[in-house]
Amino acid sequence: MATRTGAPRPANSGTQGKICQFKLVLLGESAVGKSSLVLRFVKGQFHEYQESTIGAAFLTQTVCLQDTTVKFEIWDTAGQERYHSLAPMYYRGAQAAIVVYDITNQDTFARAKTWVKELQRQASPNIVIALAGNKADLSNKRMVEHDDAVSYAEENGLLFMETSAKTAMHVNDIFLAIAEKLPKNEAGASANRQSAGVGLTATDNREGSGKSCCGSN
Amino acid sequence: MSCPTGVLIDFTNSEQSNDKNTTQNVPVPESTNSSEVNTSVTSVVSSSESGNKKGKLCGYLTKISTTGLMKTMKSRWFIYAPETCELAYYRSSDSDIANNTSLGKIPLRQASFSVTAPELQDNIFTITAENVTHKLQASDRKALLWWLQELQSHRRVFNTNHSFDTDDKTEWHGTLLGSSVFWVPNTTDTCKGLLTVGPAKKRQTDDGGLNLNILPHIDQPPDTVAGTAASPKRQPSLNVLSNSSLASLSARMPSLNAAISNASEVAMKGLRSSASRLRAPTFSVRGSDKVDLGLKNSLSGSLTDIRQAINSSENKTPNIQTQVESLQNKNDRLNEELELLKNSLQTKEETVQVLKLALQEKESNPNPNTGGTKSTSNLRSELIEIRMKNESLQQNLNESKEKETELTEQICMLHEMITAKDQVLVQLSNEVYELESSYKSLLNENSTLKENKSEEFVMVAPVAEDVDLLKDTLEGYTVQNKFLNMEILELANLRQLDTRKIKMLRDRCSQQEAEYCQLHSKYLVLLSEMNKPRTESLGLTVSGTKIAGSSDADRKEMMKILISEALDDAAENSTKEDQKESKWDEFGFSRSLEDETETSLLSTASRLQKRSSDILYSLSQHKASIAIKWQNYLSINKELQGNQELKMLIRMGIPHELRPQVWSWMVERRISQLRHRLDSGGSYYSQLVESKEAQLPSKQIELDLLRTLPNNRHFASMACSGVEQLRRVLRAYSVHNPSIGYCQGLNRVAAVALLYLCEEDAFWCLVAVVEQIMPPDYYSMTLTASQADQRVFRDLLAEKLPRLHRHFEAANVDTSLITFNWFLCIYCDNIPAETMLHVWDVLLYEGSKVLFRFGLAFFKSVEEEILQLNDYIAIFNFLRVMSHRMHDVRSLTQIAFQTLNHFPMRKIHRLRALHLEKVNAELRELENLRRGFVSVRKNVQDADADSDEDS
Repeated sequence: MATRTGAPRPANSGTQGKICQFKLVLLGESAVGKSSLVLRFVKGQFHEYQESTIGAAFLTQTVCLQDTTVKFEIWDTAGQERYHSLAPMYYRGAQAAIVVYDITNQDTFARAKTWVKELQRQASPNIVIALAGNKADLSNKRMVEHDDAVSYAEENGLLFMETSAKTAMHVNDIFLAIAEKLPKNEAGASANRQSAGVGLTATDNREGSGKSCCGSN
Repeated sequence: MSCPTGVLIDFTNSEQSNDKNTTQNVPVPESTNSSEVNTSVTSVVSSSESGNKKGKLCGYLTKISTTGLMKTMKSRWFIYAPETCELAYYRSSDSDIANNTSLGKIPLRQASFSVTAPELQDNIFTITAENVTHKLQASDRKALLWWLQELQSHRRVFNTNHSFDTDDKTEWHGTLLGSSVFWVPNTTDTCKGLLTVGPAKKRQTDDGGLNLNILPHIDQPPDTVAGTAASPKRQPSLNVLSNSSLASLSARMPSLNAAISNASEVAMKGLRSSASRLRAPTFSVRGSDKVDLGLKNSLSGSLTDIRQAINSSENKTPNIQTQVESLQNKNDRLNEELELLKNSLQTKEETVQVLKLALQEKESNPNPNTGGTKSTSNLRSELIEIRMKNESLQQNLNESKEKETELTEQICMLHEMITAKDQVLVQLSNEVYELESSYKSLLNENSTLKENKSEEFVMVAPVAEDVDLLKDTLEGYTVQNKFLNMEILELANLRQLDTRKIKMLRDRCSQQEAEYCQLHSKYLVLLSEMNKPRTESLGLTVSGTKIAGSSDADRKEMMKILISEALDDAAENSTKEDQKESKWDEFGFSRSLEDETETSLLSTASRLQKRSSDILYSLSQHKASIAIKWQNYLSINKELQGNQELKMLIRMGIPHELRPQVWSWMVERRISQLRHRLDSGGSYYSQLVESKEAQLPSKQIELDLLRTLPNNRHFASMACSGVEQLRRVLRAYSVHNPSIGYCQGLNRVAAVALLYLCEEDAFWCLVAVVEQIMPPDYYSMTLTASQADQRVFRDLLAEKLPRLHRHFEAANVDTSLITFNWFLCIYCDNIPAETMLHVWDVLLYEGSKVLFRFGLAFFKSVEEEILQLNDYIAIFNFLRVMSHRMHDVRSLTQIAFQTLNHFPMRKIHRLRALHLEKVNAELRELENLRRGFVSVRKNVQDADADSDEDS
């Protein structure tokens, strides 16, 4: 089932200037494709049947912007309703969030809206929220109109893209867009961590042989 | 999984075996053979005890040990351990095995067996192993031969199975499971889960190469009564013997007839000898189980022959008698004639007297007249005539007398003859009677033997004894000779096998050495590269992709090559491990490595480490000890019972093959009361499955079915049987407990249960886990208890691993983000299957405390590594990967139950209560905050109700 398309692209350039570290959380109804989006972004893989996430999963990925290296620590949460009581644990202190819905399921869009509300009220005040309408490859089964989502996103000041983890459509783009939008000043980047930007020691070598950088985009 | 089938334990038979212990003292039936009768001393316990556990080699033997001049004989319970190819002996069959305290062990792998004829008389055989000689005495000959045969075959099986060409991984694999794969339990009575825990492949028990039928095969342990079949092997020789004597008998028959017709002593002697000859085989045949029909026929034939002979002789007797009578008549006539003659003689004598007187008168009157003279001369002539007549008569008389005596003699002779014949007749009829009676007794014996085989009939002809003794000795030597021949062949075969093995091992060793050298050189190259001053190190470390200089590029390239090589090697190794199931492991999980290099490198590293520790462990003496302990436990306790011993055994790990049995027992133990209440009719589950609510598709369950264990072949697609079962179990559970319904995570729990249990049992297992083992509200709508448990865990971490806890605090790492799914799906998310299943083993028995124990053990096992990491992300990255590395079940268990020793449940209860309260308070707060959105959401839902219908 696994398809590996997005082979790691070496960054052809990039300054060593700033390294920013951001906590990003994925929220959304069960089985909308949160884990698949992350898997596509981090490893360039796609599994038709991704194991359902229990609690949450943690991954990291580095994105290179023109002058900054952005390192995402991604918390991929469980979608089932009863896990929502755990969500604050994960979005607490997050600088970014991707709220995911499934374009073939209206319910999930509604659920996404409540997530947006909760984030706006509960999470960090400057949190960057992106709305992702996933499973865009199934547009023949579309139940949520693109325009509805666009207008909703505009109203609430959200980034919005329709994505497909299966075809990799807009997956990297949405993360990049978030990275672009995030404040790069030191204070914002390391809001809750003393180690951000420095102290990336040899242990970090372990991370990401699969990389997705923005340079070539 | 390959399972060497050294021994089969038939669990259904274990009951019998226990029962048999009570009837141990069945006396050994006396053997019919004289020599065996004399020498059957031996052990008290009947040989029927041995081998009563089907497929298992065990039994009582008398161990003879000679220390100095002392010779001691002790009855010991011997049991063959197929895993180690050892013959262990115990004081008795039940008491010591429980404690696993064998009095000693005889390694059989390189052992040789022998018997010598003198010792064979006492049923003693010798095992020479590692220069130590063990003398063992069996209860009878058959038992002895059976033991030898079984020992040989087991030795052969073991050696064949452990030859490296057939399956070299067996030993390591056995312990790789943390337990053993050595048995194939009879699981027909336990419901089966998705996993097949039976033997993956049937090993050939008899190898084609060895076809040593020198000694006849003894197929049953001697649990048949020994007396009836003294030795099946002896049967033919007996038959031959009796047949030949019968032949000689029938050959003698004409001579017998002749002898009878001659009525001579010789014939009687011949008859007697042939009769005795006839008798001899009859006695020796007596004991045999089934007398040849031919023997019977020839016997009866000879009897009729004898009878005919006697009849003919009887016919002749009247002839003789008439002859005698005629002779007597003749004699009488002669006597009468004699009397007549005598009378006439007397009258003539009287006349002679008268004449003499007249003559004297005449002479006294000389010449009275010429007429007188004339008359005188006449008289004289007459006298002379008379005298002559008289003389002739006298002569006649004498002749008659002679004739009379002659006749009398003849009569005497005839009388003697008649008496002799009478004697012969009596003797012959005696013989006939005797033969008939012996024949009858033989028949009787046969029938009685058939009816009651243990009935004995011992009769020892003093002469036959010697012959029998000699025969026995001869036979003993023959057996010895044959056995030794076989032993030599066996040993030669084993030697050949060993030679091959050694050659193979040598090849492998050199191959391994080559591989090792290669690896080492790579490692050194890598080290030297690492040691080079890094000019652009920052670029490499930060993103891992920055290519700043050519040296870095080279290094990077080399790293890539090395990594891919390492992964290829690992994949190759894992396929080598089990060629038959290269894609799936024995639990049905995909063996293919994760694509993520980072994870798989570390995971492979840890797996290799585990493997190396397994190899070292298997080399140590404790090899397969867990398997043996389980085996012993189960052979003693036919029913599992909750006690300390079982607890310890479970902590050591339940063997793969026993999991269905032990798991369902543990589940039953947990829920027996509940089940009794709900499921009194036994149809609770099917009712749930068929209920209307369960028929409705549940969206979340459907979404999760294929996302449960996508890497497991039993749950990989909708077509898999596991998926269908999982759906029913989850739906049934959501009907059974609507307050919980379906919680993500329960799908994993149910799926793991389904691996080993049948659908219904898996359902009850789910019930046991959710409602009995875990605290309430673990999977409820708010998951409060499981959230509280994470805080309990954090507290325990602070107590048990304070350094690590401080480290986490400093780095602002909240372990509950990681541990939450460990607890919620009972360690089946991203944890090696073997470890997960072991956690389950212990959890099902001991309860939810185990969750904390293993969680802490995980952290403890990598404590030092975590302490090296200072960065939040680095630590989380490490924590994310670390669960993949938890391969070493043994050391984790060691840490969980020994290093972290004291673990009072009271404390856990207290902490749970405390944190539950806190979590509840926080949740209420959150609920209040959320209430606003929910109402908004509801409105939205109402508005979109139309479109909902379509989805």
